[in-house]
Amino acid sequence: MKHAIAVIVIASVLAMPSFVGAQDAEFKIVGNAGTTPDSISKSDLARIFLKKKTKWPDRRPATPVGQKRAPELRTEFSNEILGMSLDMVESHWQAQVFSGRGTPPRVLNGDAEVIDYVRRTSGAVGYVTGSADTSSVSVIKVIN
Amino acid sequence: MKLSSGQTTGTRLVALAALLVIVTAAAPAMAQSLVDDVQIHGFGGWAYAETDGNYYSLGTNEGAWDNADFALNITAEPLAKLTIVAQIRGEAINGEDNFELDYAFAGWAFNDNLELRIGRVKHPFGIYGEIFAVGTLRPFYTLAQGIYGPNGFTAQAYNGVGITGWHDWDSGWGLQYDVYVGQIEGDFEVPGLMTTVPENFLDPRMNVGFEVNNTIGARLMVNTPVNGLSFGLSGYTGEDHTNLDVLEEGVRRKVWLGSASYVNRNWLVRAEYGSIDRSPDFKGNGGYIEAAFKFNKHWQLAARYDAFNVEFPTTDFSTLPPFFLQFLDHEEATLGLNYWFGSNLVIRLSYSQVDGNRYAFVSTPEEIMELMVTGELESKTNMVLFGAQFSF
Repeated sequence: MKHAIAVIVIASVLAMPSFVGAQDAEFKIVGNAGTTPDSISKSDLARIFLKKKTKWPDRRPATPVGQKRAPELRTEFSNEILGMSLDMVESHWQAQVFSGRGTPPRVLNGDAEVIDYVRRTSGAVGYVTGSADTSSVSVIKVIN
Repeated sequence: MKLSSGQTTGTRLVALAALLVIVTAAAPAMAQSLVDDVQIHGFGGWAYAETDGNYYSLGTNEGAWDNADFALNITAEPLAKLTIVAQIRGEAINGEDNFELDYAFAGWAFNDNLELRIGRVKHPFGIYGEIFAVGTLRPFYTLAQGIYGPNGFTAQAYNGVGITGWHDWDSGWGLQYDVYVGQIEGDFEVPGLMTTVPENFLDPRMNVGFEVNNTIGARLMVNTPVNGLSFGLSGYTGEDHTNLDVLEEGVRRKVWLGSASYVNRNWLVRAEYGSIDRSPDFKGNGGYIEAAFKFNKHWQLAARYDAFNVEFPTTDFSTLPPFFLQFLDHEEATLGLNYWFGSNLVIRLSYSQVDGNRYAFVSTPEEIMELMVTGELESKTNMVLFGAQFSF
């Protein structure tokens, strides 16, 4: 009986879903108008945000920018584009920083700051909520 | 260079405090003039650890409250291709204070896949070699002693020149590589008795410095298409020098380590196995496996088994008291429970059961004298640890 209970407990634990579930929030990728491409593959976008790729195809420097708060938006972006949970992304950057291999992209407060920075900065790319006003920047299509 | 405790400790701590004050005071100015170019990060921790007898790792029989450390990391990018990185770290462990320069180097990126590094560079060795002291990147307060304990497998940094790079493919395969030449310096700990030098006998824990000159080393990490699964191989070799007279000078040291790691949202499973060969004086083998499961965003359960064994081919142990054989082995099982407030702060509780006296030993000269009379050394040590680790 004890063994049966133990098996049930272990099976229940293993069957637990991931703590980060799918989110309903939508986001858009925004880029500096005229200096960023109209579309990009998901893997290349991930490389840019992980700073493994630092240039656009035309050799212009790529400058990714993140969001400081907005946990749902960051979680959605991390899951969808980077293929990692937010905790995993943060751990990735801790490992990069403390091994002297790189620093995370700059982070800004909210959609308005991101859009303003992207609008003013050549080669900048960021993510904002789906409802944000993106008329001053270009919206980059992400290809799977 | 690691600075040992003693008369200079106070001076070092004052220097550390002064440096922190200067950096903190300067941060706003730097932020003002180099907004995009300078980032300041740090990490640290504190732990209470108590054993049921021997002195082991951070724990003492009386209970040790004074285990704390803090590091400050500064990265500057004055040019698009140039990165300057430095990290300083201070620690207080069981009454001994140290302040050290973890690393300070310049990196020049030829392109996204290739960088030249020169200076005192973090040692690319195994999974944890470069993030040796960063508590928020692992499931336990301390790393597995079998590989990362005071046995001289790895060092905090290499002094010299290296290249590092990576390449990945859309198929999911990826490579990260490091090759370096220079010098490695570090230290390992042994009970004074183990040195077989009479004047060391009453020293419970001798810190033996070593330098590996004309070192050549490399690390290759392979990421697989299975998200989170990677394998690695690290190694280095060079001429080994220690400040222990009984060890031959300039002997070739050969070290290798194989690594495997799987990390996803909930699971972390890591294992490493390696060997250190300083023939004819000693050869050691060590390894560990650790697994951790996150039940939800906060709670994590972790378990680890690790072991280390060292041989001294030229030493005749039959002429020594039997307990000397206990100095050769280490075996440990640890269970841990962690509460993560986020990826930057974790509170830990762990229980370790240690068999063998490679790292667990009595803590006072009086106890050593008693040991020499009775010839009996407790081979089993239990330790409970409670602590917190943080980073920013």
